[in-house]
Amino acid sequence: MTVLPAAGRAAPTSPDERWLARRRWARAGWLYAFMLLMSLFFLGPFLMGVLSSFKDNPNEYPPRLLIPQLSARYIGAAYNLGVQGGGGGWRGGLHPGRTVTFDVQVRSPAGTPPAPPTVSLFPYQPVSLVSITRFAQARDFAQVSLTPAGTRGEVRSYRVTVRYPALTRQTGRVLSAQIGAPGDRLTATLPDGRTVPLTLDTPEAQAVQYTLAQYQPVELVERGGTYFLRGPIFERTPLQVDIQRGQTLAGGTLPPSDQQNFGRSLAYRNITPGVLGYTFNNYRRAFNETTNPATGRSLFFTWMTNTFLYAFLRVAAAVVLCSLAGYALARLNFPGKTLIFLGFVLFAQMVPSQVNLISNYVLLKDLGLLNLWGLWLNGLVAAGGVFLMKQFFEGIPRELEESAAIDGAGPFTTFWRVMLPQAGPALVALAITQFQGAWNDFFWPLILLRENTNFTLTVGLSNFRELYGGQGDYGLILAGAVLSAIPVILVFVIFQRYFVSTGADSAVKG
Amino acid sequence: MKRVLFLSLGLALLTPFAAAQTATRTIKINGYGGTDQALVNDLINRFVRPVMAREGVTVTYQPLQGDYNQALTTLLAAGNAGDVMYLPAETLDGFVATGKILPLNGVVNTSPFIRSLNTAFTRNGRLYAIAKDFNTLTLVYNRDLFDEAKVAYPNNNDTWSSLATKLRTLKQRLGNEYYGICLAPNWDRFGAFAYATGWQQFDSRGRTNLADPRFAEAFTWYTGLARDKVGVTPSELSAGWGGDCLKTGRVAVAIEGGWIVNFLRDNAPNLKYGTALLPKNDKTGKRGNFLYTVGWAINANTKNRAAAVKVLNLLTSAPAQQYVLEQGLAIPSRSALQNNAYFKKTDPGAQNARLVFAGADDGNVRAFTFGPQGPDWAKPINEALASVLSGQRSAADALKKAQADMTTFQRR
Repeated sequence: MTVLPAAGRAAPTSPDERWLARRRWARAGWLYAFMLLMSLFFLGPFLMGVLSSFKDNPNEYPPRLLIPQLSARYIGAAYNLGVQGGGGGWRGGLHPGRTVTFDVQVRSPAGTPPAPPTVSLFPYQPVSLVSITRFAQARDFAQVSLTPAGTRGEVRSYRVTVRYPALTRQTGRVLSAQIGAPGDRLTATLPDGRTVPLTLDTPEAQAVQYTLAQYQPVELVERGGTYFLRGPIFERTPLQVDIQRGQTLAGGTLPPSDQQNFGRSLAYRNITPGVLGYTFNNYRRAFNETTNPATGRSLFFTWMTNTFLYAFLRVAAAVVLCSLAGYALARLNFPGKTLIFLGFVLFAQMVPSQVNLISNYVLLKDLGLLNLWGLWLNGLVAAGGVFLMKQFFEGIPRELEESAAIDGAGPFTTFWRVMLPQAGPALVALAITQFQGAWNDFFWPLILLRENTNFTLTVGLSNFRELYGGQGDYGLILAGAVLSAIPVILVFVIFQRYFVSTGADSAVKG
Repeated sequence: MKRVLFLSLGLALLTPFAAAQTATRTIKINGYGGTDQALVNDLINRFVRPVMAREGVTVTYQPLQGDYNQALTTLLAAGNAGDVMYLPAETLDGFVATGKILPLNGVVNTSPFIRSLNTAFTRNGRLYAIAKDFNTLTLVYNRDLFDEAKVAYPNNNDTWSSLATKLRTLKQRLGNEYYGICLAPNWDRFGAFAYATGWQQFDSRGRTNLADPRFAEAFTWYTGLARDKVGVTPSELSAGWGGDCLKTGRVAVAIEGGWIVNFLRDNAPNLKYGTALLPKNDKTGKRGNFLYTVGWAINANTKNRAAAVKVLNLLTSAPAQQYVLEQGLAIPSRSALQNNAYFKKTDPGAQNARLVFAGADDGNVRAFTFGPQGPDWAKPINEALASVLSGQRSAADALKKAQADMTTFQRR
């Protein structure tokens, strides 16, 4: 019988080696612990922000990590309720002619009155950032009723039924639309942009015709070219449940969003949420509740497009101008070259941008450029970018240009055909830093942009703080912040290797 | 030489943008962003544009987002401010000092507006703005907590001592988790109580006397509410202000104005609340209160003074104010509107509006202002309140330090 040697590396035998191995492991442990700690420091607040952006009350204390908005059970329930409401499991909402059932379980210990809870719909529409449009409320159109649904031990189940009868009995093609601008007759704007007069064929429909505001989503029936009003579409179905003294809530289709009166008054801000209205409620609000009353378009969406446009323009300008200037400063000989480099590139980098605040502002104001274009002009040439490109071009061997010159290339052809193709990595690095800088730029947009339709995301987001005496609607702020962080995160994840290689090493290969 | 040529060429190319400025007469209005933007645009569309369009004047609203006072200061200095603008009463002095606000005496008829509001915008006999709307402080209370503790709701006859007794009883009956009142360590809430004693913010020489026994009385009462945790500061509940406190459902009373109504409707939709006037001081039998108000002012350098005055009159006209009131958006500054049907509604929001309106004319009501030296004036008082409410100092100690700090500050 022979003893087989252990596979792989032999275990360290001498005490010195064992000590060394322990040190190695300890060092690795420290390193990993340090990295974990650091990522907790840097990622922790962001992750908490993301988590809180899903909550009904992002400011809750103590903050919960396991929230119903992220549990499969409640997401499924929200989906199901959205389907019942007629708006689909994703978008949710309550449509005319639909019935929604919602279960509530109440623990009623022996000795407490076994009376059922009282249920009602209540008006709920958060004050939006810019719009003061009052939308129709489910309470004025739908009926709610309560039926017992069995008892198990101390827990009694109740079924809440919300019935929303349609305002017309006509049948035909059902379509969604928006109420048009106020006029002599009630009109609706169809999804294809046409505005059609509405026919109100029942007393119920005629009773509500003056209560519907412009932009109110409605459902119509089309029959033979005539459009009948089926009723408004509600984004939310807010339900209030009040249970008796001594009873406690034991469960329900969804957990309540607000509790008052010692846990006996329960508000469900939306019992037809759909997944979008439940988990991503604050995100949807960020878009929906910034609707510009003048145009009916979402301001948040406009801010996002503005930011993309600004970032794109900045990147394009930097790539073109910085590479040209960098090449000129690196290779061409002309009088005053050193002066330009020292004065316009290095000195411009040393002066904080705040110093130019007043002069640039006054100049742009006089040019009538207090808008996105002025912002672009203000940051058109990045001195740092010129410096980066100059250093890069200086690293490329002169022999390349000399051989190009022998072949008869002028300075521009040399630049365009020979040098620029080599500059890929540096251009990518430049583009990334410029994109990130433009995306996160707050100072200059705040100074220069005046109209809220011109804002970039950063300035727009700071507006979300304006509600309620500067206390802000934290749900909206967090949702907006997460949305604005996503593009930068994507850019980092996809292009992070270019951050490490600034292009200096690849230049040697060229 | 060549470079100069290029630069001027570049600038010349840009000038067509500048020429886009309109040649027609325009009245530009500056105000807050957020919901104010939608509201003022709505007012302009309904009440201003139809009239001004006939005279060939276009009216635009330019909201200043973020810190309004800062933004307006910049615009006024740059000569870029609107013809008509919001002017907050608390920062009036600084703007008056620039000389860029037009005195309105003899330009606008001021008699239909609540007198204390006109006083708030008057300096040295000159009126600088017409109140757009206003707010005062009220006691907003959670009905459920009072019901549960079987304590009577706060009412308009409460005195400092009777309110304190109610709150103390409520705290005793409900226990540790619940609190009587939310006490912000801040002049903008506490000051109303200091005024109730008859204390004056500034004496004839412009000095503030915090050693005044009347100030001390208010200070001791306010901070004394925190004893036995009857009162709680918002931060102890990880709340930012009184509205947040009420929303938790664990605080019975908050001292807030009409702005709390929309907040509660959005953030605590099932909270049952009521409103009462601030309590009266036991000795003077009077309440104190702040007037928080923002006015409409006219730029002294406006090129169209007549049109600007007309726009201001339209914005503060009776139909415009009635519309704003009935939308539940603000409390109007015209005294004639106190009998409006809206105030007789029974919903908690309308009830709050009625008491906010009533509060403007009951007891020692002063405009909310920091005086000529700006918001730093309140710092010694806020620090004193915070140190006593958090238990770091005794009231007497804190007052002594506050007076010393105030003297140093006012000598600057």
